[in-house]
Amino acid sequence: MKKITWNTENIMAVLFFAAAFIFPMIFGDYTIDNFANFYVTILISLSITLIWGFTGVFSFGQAVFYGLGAYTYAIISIASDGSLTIPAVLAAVAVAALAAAVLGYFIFYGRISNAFTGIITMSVATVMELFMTQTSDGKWKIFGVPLGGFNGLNKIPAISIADFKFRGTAFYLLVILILLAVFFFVKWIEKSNFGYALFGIRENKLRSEMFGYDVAKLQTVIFSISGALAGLAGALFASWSGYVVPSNFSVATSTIAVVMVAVAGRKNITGTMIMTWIYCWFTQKLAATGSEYSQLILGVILIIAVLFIPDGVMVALFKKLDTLPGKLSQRRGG
Amino acid sequence: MQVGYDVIYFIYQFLVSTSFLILAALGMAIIYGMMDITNMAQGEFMMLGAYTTVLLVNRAGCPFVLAVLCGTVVTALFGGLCDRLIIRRLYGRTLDSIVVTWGISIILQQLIYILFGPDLEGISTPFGSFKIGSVSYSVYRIMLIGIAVVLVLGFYLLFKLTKFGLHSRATMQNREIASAFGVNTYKINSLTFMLGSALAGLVGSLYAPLMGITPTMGTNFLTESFVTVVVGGANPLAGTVLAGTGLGLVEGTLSIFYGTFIGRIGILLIAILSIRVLPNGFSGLVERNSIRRKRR
Repeated sequence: MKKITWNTENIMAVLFFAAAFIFPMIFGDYTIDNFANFYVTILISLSITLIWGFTGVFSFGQAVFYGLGAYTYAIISIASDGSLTIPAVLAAVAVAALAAAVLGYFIFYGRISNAFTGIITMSVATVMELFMTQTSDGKWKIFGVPLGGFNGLNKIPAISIADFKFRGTAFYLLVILILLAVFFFVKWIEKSNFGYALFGIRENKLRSEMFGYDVAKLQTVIFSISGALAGLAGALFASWSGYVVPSNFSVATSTIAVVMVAVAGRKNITGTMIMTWIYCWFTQKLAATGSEYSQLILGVILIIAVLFIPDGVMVALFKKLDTLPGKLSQRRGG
Repeated sequence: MQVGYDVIYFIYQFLVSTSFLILAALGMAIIYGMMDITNMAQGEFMMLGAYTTVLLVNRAGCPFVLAVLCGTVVTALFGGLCDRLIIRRLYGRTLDSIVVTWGISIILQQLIYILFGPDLEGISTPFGSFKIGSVSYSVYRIMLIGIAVVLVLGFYLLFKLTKFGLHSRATMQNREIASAFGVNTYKINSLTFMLGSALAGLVGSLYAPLMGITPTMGTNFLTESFVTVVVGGANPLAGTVLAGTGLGLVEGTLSIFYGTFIGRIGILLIAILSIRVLPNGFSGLVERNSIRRKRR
């Protein structure tokens, strides 16, 4: 077991999860229900960090896998009349992982340049959305569940074990526990040899290849893992909201997550989690001014962040705080 | 006789698909091939051209041809502005350029939505149509096929015969050496980006009568242009024309039998499969053949 260093980042991570467990004691049911969705968005952010921050591949595929996860959960849970919700979540993760593996196989073994990965995944997302939109015709059925076209699927049963339904605060706590598990999983990847191989690919693909790493395989594997995470987020969203629509496939769903990863620092998961949470909270507070401008603001923030703070705001902040005690004691000594 | 009509209809459909693919992809291919920048906002630049045209025709009563010209110029200027403020800082940062141009596309979509709402009243297709057998053919679409041919030829001559073409090809091959020989590579890049934007504006304006005018209409172009550029590879002209023709054949055929949506999915699948077989696209194929010929 490696020793944990108590730098600002790790302290913030502990505080972040501690706060998450304390919130239900402070806020009312309605607020907590809303918060649950924030943490689902954070899951998407983490899945983007894995593929973009760790491996250096920019992809809009998260929207595809998120949508697939949401639809898979919806179809299985509706078809089983709410009795197979846990298997539905697992199936959602599996379908998303498989789809990511297949798409990743073509992208990474085809040695497509990074530039095109973004557009390919975006096109796939657009086509999926279009496809789902035109399924309103009754002949589009899976397991006897009509796909519903533009209106999507409604009245999706919530996740349940035996007779206990995860709704409200119970669902919130479930999401937090899942997020905690995912957080440790991502942290483990970050410190493992697998993670270091990914960083190697990010910094220089050719060099990694020359060292004997199977770059395409590693990329496909991490793409599939990140797809699975997005699928999980999709399933949780479907259970939380009770509906899925074709626009769940649209790139716009993952816009917030992408921007937050870019702004917070794409290599830093704690910063990303905190940043995503803060943004979700802000948009909720500013909801009165309408979401019309939120996309506009997101776009501007994204451009400014990438141009001027490529390492990320949160990373810079953590660094400042890390060196602060040293500076203070220096001043006192001098 | 009926077979003859069918053949004419098939050729028409094929050329319509091909010209759309080539026109949609040309600007993006030039920016990607010359500057190694993937412009995710290319579709939104086309949307900008289309909006300018439609607004000028509908609200100012401007003649269509003049409006198309204005759409082209406005988009070119906007592209120049983007290059000055943003793109210029990203030369050589391929991955960041995708993210930032995507940011530009979000802003443009939302800005247009805020200014003009979810859609605009379209303009009618000019020049009418004629009939061969029982099928009617649009004169305007046939003109677009002609415009695609003229543009490809024009750009071929531009890159082969002019000084700008020579300098930009030099920059494309090796930026450092070109600039050591006194080529102002920044200026070449700026001009290339403006050229790509102007093309986007022109194509957006030209297709304005044929499409729904919405803030997200650019996404319709993006899939098509991406597919063509990916299959075409780095050579902006030869690659794009070959890929456009091949994919046009697939899309045209599928559209006739199964409708446009299946046609669209078809070319996306073909594109994803073809990068597995031809990683450098048709350009790679062309280059390999020309090298082989020289060796002989």
